[in-house]
Amino acid sequence: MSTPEESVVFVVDDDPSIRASMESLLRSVGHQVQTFGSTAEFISSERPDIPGCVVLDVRLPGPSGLEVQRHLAGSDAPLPVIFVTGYGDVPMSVAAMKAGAVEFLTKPFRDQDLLDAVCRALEIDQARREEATLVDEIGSRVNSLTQREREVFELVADGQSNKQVAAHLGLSEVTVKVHRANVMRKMDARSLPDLVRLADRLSAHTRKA
Amino acid sequence: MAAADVRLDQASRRRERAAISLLVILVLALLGITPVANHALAHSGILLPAYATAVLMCDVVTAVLLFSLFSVHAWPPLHILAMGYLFAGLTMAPWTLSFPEIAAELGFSAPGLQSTAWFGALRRLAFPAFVLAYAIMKRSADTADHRDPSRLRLIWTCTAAAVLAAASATWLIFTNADSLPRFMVDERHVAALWQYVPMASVLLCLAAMGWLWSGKRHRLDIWVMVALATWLVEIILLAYVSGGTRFTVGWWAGRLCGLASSSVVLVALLADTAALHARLARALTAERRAREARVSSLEALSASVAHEVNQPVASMITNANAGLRWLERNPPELDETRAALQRIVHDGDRIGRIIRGIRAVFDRGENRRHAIDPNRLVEDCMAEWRRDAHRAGISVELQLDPIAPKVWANPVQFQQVVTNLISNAIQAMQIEHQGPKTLRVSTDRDAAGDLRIVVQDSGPGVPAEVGDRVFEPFYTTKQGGMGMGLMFCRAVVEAHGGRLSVSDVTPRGARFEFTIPAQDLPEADERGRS
Repeated sequence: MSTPEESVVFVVDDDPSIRASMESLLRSVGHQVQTFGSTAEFISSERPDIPGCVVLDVRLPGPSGLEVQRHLAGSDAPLPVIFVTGYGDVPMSVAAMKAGAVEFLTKPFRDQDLLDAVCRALEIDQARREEATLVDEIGSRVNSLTQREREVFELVADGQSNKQVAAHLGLSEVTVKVHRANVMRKMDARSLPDLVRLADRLSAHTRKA
Repeated sequence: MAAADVRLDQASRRRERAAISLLVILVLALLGITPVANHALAHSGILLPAYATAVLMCDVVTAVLLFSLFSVHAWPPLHILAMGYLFAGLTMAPWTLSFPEIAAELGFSAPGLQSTAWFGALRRLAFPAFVLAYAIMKRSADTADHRDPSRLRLIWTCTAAAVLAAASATWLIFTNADSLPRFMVDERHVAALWQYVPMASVLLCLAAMGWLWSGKRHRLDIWVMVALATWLVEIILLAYVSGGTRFTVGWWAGRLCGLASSSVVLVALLADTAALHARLARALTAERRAREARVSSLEALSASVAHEVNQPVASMITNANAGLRWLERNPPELDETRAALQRIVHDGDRIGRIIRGIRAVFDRGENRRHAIDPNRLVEDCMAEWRRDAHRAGISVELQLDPIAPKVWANPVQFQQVVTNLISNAIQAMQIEHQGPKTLRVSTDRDAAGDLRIVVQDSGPGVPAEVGDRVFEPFYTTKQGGMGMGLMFCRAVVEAHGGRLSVSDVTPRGARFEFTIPAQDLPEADERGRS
């Protein structure tokens, strides 16, 4: 497992002792840590734009850990969540895991469990960020296409031959070939399958959003 | 004991009024019957066995109930009264059989003209005599003697004595009827000697009633007096109004009074038994509910304790792991390790406080109270929390008035109350953090001269609509809290005769104030320190 170069772990717990101990533990293995005493404090904080994850107590004053999880999931930066709780409450942990929590730890937990969970969460966030960057990149490439080129791109990605595209758009086959070459260049695609993959990735992302 | 006050408690006004109105009705009935009292009811003799059976049953059942009451309460006069009822009831059987009409119907020769009158006289004199004995004995033995182990034997002895007495009297009268003094002239008319019997009975009745009335009256006594009064009316009807003539309206009215007299105590006892049963059922239900509540509050308490202890334990383990990891680094990070170890010490302190709190909850012994200097106690409590307060950025103001009186209190509990209030205040100010955080703890002497301790914070305060509900069990505004702390505080303060109240302060914050009465402290502080 490789921890991303620069990352941050947010610890939200109303118990100052727990907070300090987790911060120390995470720092001892080299994580950068920010602590918060309440969910409100955490939500209103300015978070750096680097891979991160949240270690959340389920029961907190103000909005509960589960609510924060929901809030994060709906935001632009859905940080992975690791729950810790004083009560090993099964329905609660099921709800948390269903909502996409990385891990659900019961206090007192094994330090390695928390550290593993944090590493996993940071990797997930890293991957999500890379994916997001890639999708952004693809999006901007698509934006650089002309209207006609975009039409050609969509039909080609859909598996149609030059002839079919030409018939569909009412163009000559030669013109379609020119457009297609432009699309391949602008989209930075080395081959037709490569182009199809890019289109798939984009459509998968837009479906999710 | 709840059962003891059902029948033997003081007579209530309501009951006395009921008894008096019953008597008034009887007297009115007596007056109403007088004009037609001498009207003879022919052939009404066949009703006699039914009447006698009813009286016999009432008397015997009353006796049984009184005996069983005696077996529970061990109050000696009760068995005398029971014996009176049993004996009076038993005389009814030979009395009925000795009626010439009845004897003839049953096919054996009448034992003699005098025997009926003799049985009547026996019953008439014996019952008030027993009641008088009961009344006299009641005076001398107004307390139950629970030590007497031979209650059951006494009951059997009394029963046997009553049965034996009734049987031997029956045998004596049946076999010697004609040699006994003569009460009857003929089958319907009485002799001159007879008039002494009702007179003696009336005198015994009045004496018994007088004794009962003048002493401390129990609920049962009221009904015994009503029975005696009805008995009196019966005698007046039988002996004077109807002129001693059998089977007249007056005579039958007297007999009905006799039946009423027999059943008064029975009905009262049965009504009380039913009421007792209902009460008992209610008490049992209430007790079960209380037990369930205790169990659930115990469960809640243990859950709360488990959570409270779990937090610092979790923190300790994480700190220890962090410390090890800091040490394993190359080079070891000694400052970080030291900080982790210090946090472990702090967590240990916290667990210690929780354990002391649990002890305080169960430390209910009155004899563990000592004279306490409130100022020193508050300082000690505050010392425990200073570090927490400091870490949370709270400034602490102590205003300890030297005139604050010493109080006589359980030190563990008292300390726990102050500690709870302080920790609540600190926690309240940690939730939100706008504005200055100030914890103010003060001691002084209030207008009544009692000790007053105030713990005030600048946290979010207690909304007016919540108010006193903070003291209810399981009421909590803390997410992890179980709502036991303030309930415990109030219970302790009230057990010490004081009051704990909460109010909102402006612009923000809550103010918890409690008083403990200043008492004349025993000279030696050492008392109860064993």
